[in-house]
Amino acid sequence: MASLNVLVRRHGLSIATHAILFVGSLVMAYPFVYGLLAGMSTLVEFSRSIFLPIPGRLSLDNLNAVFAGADFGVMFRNSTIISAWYAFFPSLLALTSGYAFARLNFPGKNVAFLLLLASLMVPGQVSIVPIYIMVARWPLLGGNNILGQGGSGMIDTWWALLSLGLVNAYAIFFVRQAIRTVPYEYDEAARMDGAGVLRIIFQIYLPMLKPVMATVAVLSTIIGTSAINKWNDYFTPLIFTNGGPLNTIALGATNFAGAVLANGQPNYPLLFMGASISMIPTILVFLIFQRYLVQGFAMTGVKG
Amino acid sequence: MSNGVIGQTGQPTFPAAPLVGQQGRFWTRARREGLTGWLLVGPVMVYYAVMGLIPMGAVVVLSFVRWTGFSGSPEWVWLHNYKLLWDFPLYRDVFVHTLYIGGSILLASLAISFFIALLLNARIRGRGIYRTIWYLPAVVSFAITSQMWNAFLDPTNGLFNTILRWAGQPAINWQLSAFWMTFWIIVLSTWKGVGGTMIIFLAGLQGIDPTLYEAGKIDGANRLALLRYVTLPSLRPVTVFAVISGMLGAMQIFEPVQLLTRGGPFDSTTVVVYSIYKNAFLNSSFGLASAMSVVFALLCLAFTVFQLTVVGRRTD
Amino acid sequence: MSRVLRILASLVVLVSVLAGSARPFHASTAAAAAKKVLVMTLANPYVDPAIYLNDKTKKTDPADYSNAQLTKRIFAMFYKMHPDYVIKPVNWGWSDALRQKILLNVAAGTGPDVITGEDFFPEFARDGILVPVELGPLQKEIAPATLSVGMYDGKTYAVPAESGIFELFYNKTLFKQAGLDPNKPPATWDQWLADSKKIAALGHGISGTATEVNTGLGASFRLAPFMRQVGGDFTSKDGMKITFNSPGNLKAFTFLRQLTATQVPGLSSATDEGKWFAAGWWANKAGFVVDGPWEIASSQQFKLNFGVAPLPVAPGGHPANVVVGNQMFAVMKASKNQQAALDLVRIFGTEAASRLNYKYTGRLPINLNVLNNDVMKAGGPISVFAEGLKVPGITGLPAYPANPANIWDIFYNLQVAALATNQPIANLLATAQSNAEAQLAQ
Repeated sequence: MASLNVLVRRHGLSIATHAILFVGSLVMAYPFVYGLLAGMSTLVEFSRSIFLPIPGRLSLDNLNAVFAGADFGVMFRNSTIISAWYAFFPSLLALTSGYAFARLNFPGKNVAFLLLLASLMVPGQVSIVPIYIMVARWPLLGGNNILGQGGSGMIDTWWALLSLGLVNAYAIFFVRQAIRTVPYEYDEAARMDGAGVLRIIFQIYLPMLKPVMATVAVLSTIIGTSAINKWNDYFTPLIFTNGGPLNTIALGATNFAGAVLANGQPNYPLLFMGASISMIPTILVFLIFQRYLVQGFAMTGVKG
Repeated sequence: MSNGVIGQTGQPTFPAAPLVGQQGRFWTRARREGLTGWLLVGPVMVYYAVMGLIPMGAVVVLSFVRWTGFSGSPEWVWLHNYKLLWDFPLYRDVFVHTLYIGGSILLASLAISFFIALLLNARIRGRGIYRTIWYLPAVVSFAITSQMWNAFLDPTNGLFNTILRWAGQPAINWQLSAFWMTFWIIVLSTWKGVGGTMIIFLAGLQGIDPTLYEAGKIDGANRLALLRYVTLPSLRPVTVFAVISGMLGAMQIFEPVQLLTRGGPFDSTTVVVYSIYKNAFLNSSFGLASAMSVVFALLCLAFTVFQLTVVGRRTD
Repeated sequence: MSRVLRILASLVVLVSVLAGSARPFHASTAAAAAKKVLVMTLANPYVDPAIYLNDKTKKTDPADYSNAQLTKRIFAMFYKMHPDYVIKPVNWGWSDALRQKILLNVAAGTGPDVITGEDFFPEFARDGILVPVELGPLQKEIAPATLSVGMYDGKTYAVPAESGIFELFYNKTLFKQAGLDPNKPPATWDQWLADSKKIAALGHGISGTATEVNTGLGASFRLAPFMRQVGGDFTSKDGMKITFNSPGNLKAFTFLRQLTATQVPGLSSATDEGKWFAAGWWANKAGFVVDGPWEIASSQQFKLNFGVAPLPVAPGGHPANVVVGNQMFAVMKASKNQQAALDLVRIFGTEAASRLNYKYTGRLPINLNVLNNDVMKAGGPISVFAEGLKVPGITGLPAYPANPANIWDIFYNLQVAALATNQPIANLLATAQSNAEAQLAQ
């Protein structure tokens, strides 16, 4: 039995680690599993569930109901376009301006940076009104004259979906941190070879910062406009469009959250199916890009 | 091009520039650099000025008026809204609730994510899968998960009460208990946010120089001591980053409150962002909502500056 | 693994772009460009025929298919009057989301021509964003109670499409079990309380009266009729003063607290209306419930043996009620097509449209001709509602002059404390009154 003691002492910590992680993962993943199963259950099966709903058969009936009256092709296409755009453009801006904040000296640099940071602190609930007015009164769009009167501006057009939130202060902050950890010698060497700023950014730093850019562009950050954040964004299409040809998956899925049965009770299986469907693409994208995730943060976090 | 350009920390230093530079040109190196900087940052700042600063400025200005937000003309009331925020326990409590709900979320997610990051840092099999599962809640929409949680909290059919009944306990009516709804809001938000901070800590842990651990072990330190004297100090800059982004996330929760409690039984879970939304759109009390936004932003700013300067600077 | 995922992802993106590329990218259509456009927000039971009137929906969503047919016929009535217009329906949700979108649109000056809603019309009229509706002879045809919810300062600003009030549902099976005559539902408070206690005495988790106790408008709705029967109310007649603390309210709350005591404890604190019904009334475990006309269909669906009776009246009180589920349509002042919009909303009040609504949805119609001819003649439970709608002086819930959400929260706290706890009701009323007045004084 001495060997058992040795075994436990040598591997005890590893067993405990596994146990904690495993149990924890079960807790974290539980709502997802529940949601997926509930989405495939009928109302009766759902009302009988205790720990997990047990669907009699893996029925996709709820899937049909979720997207009845809504054009799934359109929603998917729109969400994809929006996410792709927001993966690309804000990160591009973050890369160039992040470099500028990290490496270049220009008057007003610190003030500008502080102002950008301030955007992370003001909740958007009230500023939505001035923004909405601005969007609706944008000159020369949507039937507006040069003074912005007469039409509806960017409301209910692709402009509204693609032109808000292009400056991601969190991403700029991120890129700046990452570049600061890189020794200045790289810039020096490139300058000596006669490279201009743009070449330095794109030919030297971009390859180095691939994990950072992947993190900022795609993965869901706590605040900001990454591809995944935008995929889940139901608020912008809700407020700035009327759905229809501009509908997105996120907006469509939340509509089913309000779906009620004749007795006023929420139709839970339908709700869960809508939820599960809208989650699947983000999970897939995350799985693809996840190896960049830790590296991305590593490149910025250590030196502070 | 001289050595004086690279400073001690490997960052460029910027000597003061005379009006006419070394070769008698106006466009000195420093000036060209300034221009390049503004060419790169300029478009970003212009966009931000229009779409970000102007609305923010409007909010600040509107905090001094009484207005419905959509009709009638604004009435200038100076500091009256701020006075209301101070006088009414209803509004003061909003900040108090935000502080302890947000604070609990922050502490819980920092503690749990740090602990899990420590575990994940060890070389065990399947850690990629664990890492994925732990991060998963952060990837999905908060609104949708809140709706799912609503189903779980259902008094008769919901998951939690079903488990209680299965365990022989009476069902609890969560929605009528201020304590429980606060608890569930914290649990839901922590569940959502743990993944994000965990990744930050994981990244930080992976950046710690292993030779430091070696040195510690040679000196006879056990695991706990290593944690205290090597890991924690090395993680300080990462921790500052995690605390700031965690705080911003925790203090600004909205969807769980709007979808689960609507401010909670007896206003107990009314947090700042929800109160702002409620006052702006449901109470038609736009000036008050703006004032609340301003106060909240200032408090966040103060906290962030504190973190960056006082706590963060000790590493340099 | 990652490689496979990448390929999978690229395929998905390709498929989605291909699938979606044939569909329109923009909201406007060529047809609309030829005619003048009238934008109106729609809510259940009215849905966009262009989306829901097709074979696919007929199979998967028959309810919405039927609603689409109703909507199309209403639109047809409008097109007869204005062939040069095309109606563009938009779905802006309901309650909070709808309100937010309307307010934003008014702030920006964009906006629909016609809006729909239930409760915000007096408030919007007061804020000056609605156009008064001249009903002419139609005014006499519409039940006054259903119009009252859309009036401000003596003028009509919204036209109702359908309505509802509350009446007493009682379970005939439980009546028989408790030894009560199923053909003699209670007509007074005392009788109701006595009957309720008798049914509760049956035990086995059976409640006398299922009373809704939660922090929500549903519970407030069900308290209002009884407050009004004894002269109490939320506000004064002009809506400017809060009257939470009044002898009438004290009487009503005292009675309702006793009534709530006949409810099985777990049931009384269910917050989700659906759940509360599922565990009580629909499960044959409640003798009485106060609910609206929609409950008829639900109760039939659950095969209950039930009857509907007018609300029991207090000693010394008079019959009273509250209008609920009163969907209305109104015209925005910013509309550039006010005349056409006014014609459209007036249609909903006509006998023809009201009859269509009743035929397709079974909800309580608002046109007196339909009420008297179709509903009363048909008899049955719905006729009790039609009869009840004729009681004079019925209005909806109040629109508070300021901070309505906060004041409602104060009342919600009051209702839960008054019905479910033992705190002295007089104190609760006084506290609520002063808190609400403080909100108005802001």
